[in-house]
Amino acid sequence: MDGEVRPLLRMAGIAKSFPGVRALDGVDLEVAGGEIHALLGENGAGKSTLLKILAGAQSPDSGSITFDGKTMSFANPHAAQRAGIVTIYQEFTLAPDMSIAENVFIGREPGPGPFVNWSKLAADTAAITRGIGLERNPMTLVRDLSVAEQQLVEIARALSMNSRLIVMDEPTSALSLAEVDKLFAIVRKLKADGISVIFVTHRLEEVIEICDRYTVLRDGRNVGAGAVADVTIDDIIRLMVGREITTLFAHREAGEPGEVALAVEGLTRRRTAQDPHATELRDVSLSVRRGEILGIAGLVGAGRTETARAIFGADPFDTGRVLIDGQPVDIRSPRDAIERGIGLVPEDRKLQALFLTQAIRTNMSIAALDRLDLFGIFVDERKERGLVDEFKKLLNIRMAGPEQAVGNLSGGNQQKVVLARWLALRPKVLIVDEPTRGIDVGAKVEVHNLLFEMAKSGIAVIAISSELPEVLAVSDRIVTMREGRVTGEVMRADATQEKLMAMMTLTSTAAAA
Amino acid sequence: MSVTAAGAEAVPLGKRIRRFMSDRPLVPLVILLVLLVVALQILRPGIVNERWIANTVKFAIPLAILAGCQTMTMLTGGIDLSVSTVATMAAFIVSTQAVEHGPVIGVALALLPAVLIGLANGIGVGIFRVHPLIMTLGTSLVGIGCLQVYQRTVIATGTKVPAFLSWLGTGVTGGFPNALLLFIPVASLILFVLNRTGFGRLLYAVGDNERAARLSGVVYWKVILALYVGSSLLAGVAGLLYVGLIKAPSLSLADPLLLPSVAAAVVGGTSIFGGRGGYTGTILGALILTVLTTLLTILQMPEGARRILFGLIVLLVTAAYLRIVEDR
Repeated sequence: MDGEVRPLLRMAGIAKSFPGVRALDGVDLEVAGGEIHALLGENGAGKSTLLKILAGAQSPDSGSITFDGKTMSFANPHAAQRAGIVTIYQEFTLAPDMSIAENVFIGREPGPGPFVNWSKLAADTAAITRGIGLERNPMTLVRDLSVAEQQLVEIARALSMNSRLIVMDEPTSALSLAEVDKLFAIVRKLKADGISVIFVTHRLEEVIEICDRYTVLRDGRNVGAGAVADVTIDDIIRLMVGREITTLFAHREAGEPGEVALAVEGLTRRRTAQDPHATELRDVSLSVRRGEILGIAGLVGAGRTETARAIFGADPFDTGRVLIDGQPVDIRSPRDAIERGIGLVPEDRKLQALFLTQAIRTNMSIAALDRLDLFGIFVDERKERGLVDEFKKLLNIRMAGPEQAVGNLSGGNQQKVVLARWLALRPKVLIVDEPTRGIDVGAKVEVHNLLFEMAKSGIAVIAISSELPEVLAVSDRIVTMREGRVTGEVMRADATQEKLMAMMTLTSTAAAA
Repeated sequence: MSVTAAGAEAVPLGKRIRRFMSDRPLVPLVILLVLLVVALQILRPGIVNERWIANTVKFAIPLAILAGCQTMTMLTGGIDLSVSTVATMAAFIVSTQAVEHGPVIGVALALLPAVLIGLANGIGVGIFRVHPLIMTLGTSLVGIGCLQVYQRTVIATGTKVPAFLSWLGTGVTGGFPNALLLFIPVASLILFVLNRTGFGRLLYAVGDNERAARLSGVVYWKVILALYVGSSLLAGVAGLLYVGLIKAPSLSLADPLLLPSVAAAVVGGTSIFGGRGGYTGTILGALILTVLTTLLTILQMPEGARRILFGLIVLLVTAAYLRIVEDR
């Protein structure tokens, strides 16, 4: 298994840019035959773009793909599949109201002409599914299967296409421990049969347990690759976060935080049949004081956004309670939360916060309309313009005028409009989810300074961010989450990126703080 | 300096016109309306006089009110297909009850089903998340069924259009149709609600981005419920006016107005996907459709050809208008 072996897959110098972002900057990836290869990196490191290129869903700007000794360029996912590369995405691509057999052989059903030979279809399917331990009647509807079983159907489909390379994007994120063990047994069997697997995961223990080799990406570049046997989890974490801690983000002098403004105790939200892929919340407890900025760090799917939405009344939760100023409150809708003094700046401002075709004025005043009313009927537009003026100056929003459509502003100014919407209500608690996603560096600094100002004025701020430097820059105290659980808490002074990454990715982190 | 000035002048005329119109979306509608009237005058010299104008306005008003229902529901991304049934029910009930119970009770009884259907629509769409198309279609069918049952109970009484409605519907005072006495307040109310009230803001907000509206604390079902009840009430009022104009209550009285009411709102620039539009455009749209109908009638074409042309022109006008206005 040494350098002599010709790799099954070689991606060399892959580059891909999107408007304004260089997602991949000359990335290499080599996978040998019969190898389980871990592809690792932080959120936004370029993993998914690389995999999409491999799956034929996107085409690279430059670079080459060699598969089984032949140079390939995949025009579409179908071409990649024909070549023997199948990708199993985190969100399954199964048709829930069709049977296992139909899903496995979709588009390739055996039959004479347009007719389907059902008995052959069932027999062919059973031959594959039995081999991977899926003991189900091939005519069972996919809807009636567990998440783990649905994953096996995806694997069966890959095998039915005679795949040489199966890409699994976070295959274990939705599985229980026992199901993970079963999956690993199947992956080992695939390996024994000479099939290669690219394994993407945020759980680094799994890399050590099952993978042969690894490749780490950071900011769209290779930062390390080698045999798993030669490294420790700590080494991998260091590679993943590696960038020098940027001095760009200024810290602030933390003031003396006041009383606890918001506390959450034992927040739990289970999966339901309607929403089987939702992130569960398991006994989440946290609190934030007046004048304090609490950072929440975690990888995608850790339950950060779900926690925020549950507190804000946007999603229901099963058990647990929310306390404001020490008093338990019953929040069932965003309206309730707003009346209790909580605000939420959601993670995707275009989808969840802004009315893109409407005027800045309207966007800013929407949550405060009842305070701008004259006689409870019509909007006092003079007051409304005053509000826009006030926040235009306060937040330094660069805009043509209050009637300008908010969709025409830059990302940073749009985010300031959303912040103004909440500040106009003078909230006690403001939750900001990815407050600087997709905005330029200058605006980021401005938004950070605004968060500092808010805390200074006595608002309790909860800041959720996928960028560790940002969490470290803005927070006074940091809570980490993983898979719907709070996995640790640390004061900013004691926190480093490595430490946070460990708390976000490892199971046994109780001692990390 | 001179370079930029030359650059500004170099913008082609077509593009400048389009930019001008996209800033003032009502201008192309007014131009179209004037063109249609001119065409009419050329085809039938002398037809356009005071009496013709009063007549056109009279017929455009019930359509404009029903199109107001569509405008408001379409702003939220919905539609109200029960307006014609509600209007018919109001018209039929007032024609059978006002004789016996007097105009006030007659009108109150006539608007009762409007409120009920509006409540049902609002609850269905706002709380149970039924698609507005299906919800209002369903209540419309139920309403017509109820009206048929009701008709049997009043066969003995017969129908009579109350005098005050005939006066309102057909009367002309000093060259102005009396219907304007009703329409001007109604139109002002709609314009005021859409432009100046918080409720109007919420209609645009819900239609533009429902998720964002919810996360901004908008209570979706309350907005939708109030909207559909309001829409239904307006439709009832339009029915009262229409029966005064047509003077022949029947079980399909307002049916021919249903699709034109949607068309008037769309021609007037209201987006069927929500968030964009306004009532001024809709009023112009109703006038345009009414003049267009007259134009096609005086061409003395067979009914079939007239309908084909009407449909094609509505499609063309809407497509052309969207291209002009959305050039941003």
